[in-house]
Amino acid sequence: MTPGKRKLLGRNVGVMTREAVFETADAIESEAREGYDVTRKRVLFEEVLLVTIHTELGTGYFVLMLLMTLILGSISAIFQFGAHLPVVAVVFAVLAVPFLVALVVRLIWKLDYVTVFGRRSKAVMRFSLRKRRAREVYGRICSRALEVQRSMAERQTEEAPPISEAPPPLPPENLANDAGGAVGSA
Amino acid sequence: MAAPAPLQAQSYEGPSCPRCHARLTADWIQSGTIICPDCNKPFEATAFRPPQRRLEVVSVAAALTPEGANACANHEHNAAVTNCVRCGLFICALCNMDVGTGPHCPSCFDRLRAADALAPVSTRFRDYVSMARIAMIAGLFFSFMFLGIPFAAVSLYYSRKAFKQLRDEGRSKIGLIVIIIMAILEILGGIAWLAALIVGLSQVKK
Repeated sequence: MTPGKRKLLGRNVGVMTREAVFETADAIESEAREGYDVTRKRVLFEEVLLVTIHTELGTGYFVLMLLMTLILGSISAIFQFGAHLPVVAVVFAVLAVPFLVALVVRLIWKLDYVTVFGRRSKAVMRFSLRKRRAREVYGRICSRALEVQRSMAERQTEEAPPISEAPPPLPPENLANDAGGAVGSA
Repeated sequence: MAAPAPLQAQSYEGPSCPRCHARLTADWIQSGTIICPDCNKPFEATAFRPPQRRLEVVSVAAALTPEGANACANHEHNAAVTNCVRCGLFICALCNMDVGTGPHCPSCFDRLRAADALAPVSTRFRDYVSMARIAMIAGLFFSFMFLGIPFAAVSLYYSRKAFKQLRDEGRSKIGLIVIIIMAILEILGGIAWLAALIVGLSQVKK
């Protein structure tokens, strides 16, 4: 990947967060948006400490969808059985369907989170339906971090000066004598 | 490019549980399935041991060049590699506290940290591409009210800033070029619409 080029890995979009996570040549870049202001954080591959993947239900979203389904469903039921207005009941039932579908989809697939922890910052991605993509991203980040850190370690090993096995040279005799004399005279 | 990034404190404290955000100690950072000690929920993890950046501390005696012969203000036997951007003190590789905002000596670093003014690894900027895009779309929506021209002008203004931003970052400008073309078409369409209206009105008067 050439410098400047970056590839979108995933997003973390919630009620309070809007983040896009990219892969660059040397780091994972996370861009959090607040209006038109963007805060960009970088997790360098050479500083990655931990990469995690886990699945969550997303309680807030689940509860919201459940409430909307129940509210619209009960209104529909009231119109069907209380007021005997089947047309209105069908309208509310149709309105409740998307919330019910969202609820069932979340219940079955849940949310996959991939988190990258570096020394100084972290990046989070969430995947709602693309399970395979989440695994791919997790594997890709792990392999890139391993590759970069391994090459860094190899480079450091190569650059390390060779340790000479020969003993350090002794000081010249006259200097040693002078030093000894000075110590002795003192 | 956007205005210089404001300095702000970094609240990140290292790896934590991705579920409950409880801080993980070094013992818990390992590969495999980890059960969080705080929330008792599992997550899969791959741990890394990144090599530490090696410092090349050059001694004053070994520094042969006149520039390299300056001694560090804190370590008299170490050659200075740079100077603090805040106070100008000569510092060696050991004292160089560079967190991505230039070299700082340890005392300046501590002062900045105490004042919560230490620059983090994050940068903050304005997304001019989005601003140009929104202005262009708004112009499309309100073109019938002759507002296409001012919105397109605003879009072109932000496009100019976005162009510089993308050029500095070395990113693709294809999307921005589409926005610029659309904005120019909006202006041309607006002018044509105005001209047609004026011609139409003058013909009605005749």
